Amino acid sequence: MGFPFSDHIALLEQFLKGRTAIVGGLERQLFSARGKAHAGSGDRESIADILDACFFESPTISRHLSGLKGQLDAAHLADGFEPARQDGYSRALDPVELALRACHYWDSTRWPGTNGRLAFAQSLYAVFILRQLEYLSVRIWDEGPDRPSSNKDQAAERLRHVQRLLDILNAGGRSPQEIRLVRDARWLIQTAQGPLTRHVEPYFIKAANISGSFTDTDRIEIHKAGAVLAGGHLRSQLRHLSFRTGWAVDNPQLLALTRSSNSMDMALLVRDLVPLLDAYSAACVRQDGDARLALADAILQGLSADPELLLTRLDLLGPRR
Amino acid sequence: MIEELFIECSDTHAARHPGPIEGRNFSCATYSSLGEVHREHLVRYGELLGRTAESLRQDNRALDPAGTAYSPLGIVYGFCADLFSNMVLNTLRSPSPSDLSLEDVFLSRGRLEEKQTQAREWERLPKGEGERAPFEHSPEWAAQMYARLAGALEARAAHPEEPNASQFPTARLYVVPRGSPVPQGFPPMPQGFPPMAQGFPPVAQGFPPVAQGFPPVAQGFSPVASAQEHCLTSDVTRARLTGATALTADRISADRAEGRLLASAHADGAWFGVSKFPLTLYVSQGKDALLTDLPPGVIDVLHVVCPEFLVVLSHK
Repeated sequence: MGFPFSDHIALLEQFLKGRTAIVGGLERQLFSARGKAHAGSGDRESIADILDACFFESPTISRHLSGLKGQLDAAHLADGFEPARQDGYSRALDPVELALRACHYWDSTRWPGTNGRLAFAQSLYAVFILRQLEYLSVRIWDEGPDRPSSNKDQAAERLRHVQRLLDILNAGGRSPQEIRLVRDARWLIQTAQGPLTRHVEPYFIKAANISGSFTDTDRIEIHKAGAVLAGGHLRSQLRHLSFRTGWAVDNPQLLALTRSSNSMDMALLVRDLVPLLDAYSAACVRQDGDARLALADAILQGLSADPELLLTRLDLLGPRR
Repeated sequence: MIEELFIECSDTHAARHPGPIEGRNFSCATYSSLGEVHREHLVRYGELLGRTAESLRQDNRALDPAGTAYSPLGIVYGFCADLFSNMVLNTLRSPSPSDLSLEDVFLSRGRLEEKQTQAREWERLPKGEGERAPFEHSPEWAAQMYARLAGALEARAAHPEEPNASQFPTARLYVVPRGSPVPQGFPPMPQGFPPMAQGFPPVAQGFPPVAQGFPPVAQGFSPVASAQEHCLTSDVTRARLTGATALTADRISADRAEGRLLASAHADGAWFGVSKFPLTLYVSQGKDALLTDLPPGVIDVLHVVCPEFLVVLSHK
């Protein structure tokens, strides 16, 4: 039967239309005496149930759409993105963890009034929707009842739907306390693949999907996001490991340690850098200074992940003949 | 290189890939279709980098973080989800959150004062007991990251066509097949001695087999470093005899799946793998390294993934 993409779009539209009611429900149920008790005992499962209920059992949601609960997560898992937990966490965006953190913070300071709790419920709402949009952004290539055959234009069209929903989320209730997590739906394709997972192949399948879809402009933005996010993550890893081991950042032991665990990141980074370098080269030729510098910014952040390997030792990256 | 995804091992490739391993006249390793795509990307990457290195070197100067309020090169976090979490948790303390979004965090130009303010707020976010800081923006770290990037760009721009643009000479990975002795007095070869892959045995004429197992090369008679500890095997006895590191089969398999191994194979009832460490610890530093007791299947894969460095030592 495939993946019912348009049903999920309809469901998210209903979540967005029912924002006020859902946020109110989150504030009442998560931060009520019952919610506090769950937070106090660290009962993540019960908090997750409350979160789900506030969305999927909201009176504003059609019954047939509420049946889609869990489908996006399951499809992501079926793609092979099986979380690999490190220190108990998979480093995914987790509204349950954020709700727990808020309760612990308020316990250690003071609990805010209704407005303060509502403001934080708004943030949790945004996180929950963003997670759905992230998962949806990597479903744009799926076949389904509304998309019988492969068609690269349909991936672009579906991404525009995701962008439209993201724009509605960001427009929000126009409260000054609302946050805008991300503006560009093209970035979601990369952030959806951010957490630690057990298998590497799914990332290359998505990378191939990206290569075969979209306009040049859209593809370049997706690759920019990929390059800067990989660069930031890998530089951070280097800093943490350098601090933990006491080794300098150019110590071969440290570089060997990081490279050993970064094969996938490096391979994907090269895939992001190739089209960016191509576009950069073209921008240099046509003397388009703004485009050139914007591309250079992303490329250089990507290269900063491991300049020795990515710039000076191409022989170590792999055979090129 | 990710062996599990990029390499296929099957005897059906024998006809296409004649191999040099003693006792076998075929090699069973080749690139998978995903591996071929990756190799094509590497070729294109090298070409584009050579063409653009000088321009990138110039543009890098324009993005020098020195004296700026904020640079993406200075941020330290974990995963991108942590950045979203910071935005959310910051609302607990800041009643009017910034309208900066994820994209802004990674732009080196524009609204730098606002980004610096946001970074400082994130640095002060509450953290759990024993947790490290959720975020850091360090001008010193940015300067360090910039400096090593600038140095590497300089080297690449100076040698746009050279695969190895570093200050170190290209080194070799010497491997001794399982069952073959380490050549005594190894390595006596003159400079530029052709490797096995070109059809010439690289070992000096008439070297005698070394008795009593595998003498450690690092014990003074050879400038070649022993990288034997980076050979991994699930055969504990063999590990003890050869100086390889014993690991469970599950661990070797997991390392293989994550791309931590240069090459691996199941041979003689056990897993054997070579970690990627020797490439960085030795070869990248211009030092030759020696690995011994490698099963033929592992050498097959090494011939595919690092043919430029590989020298198979065999007395035949």
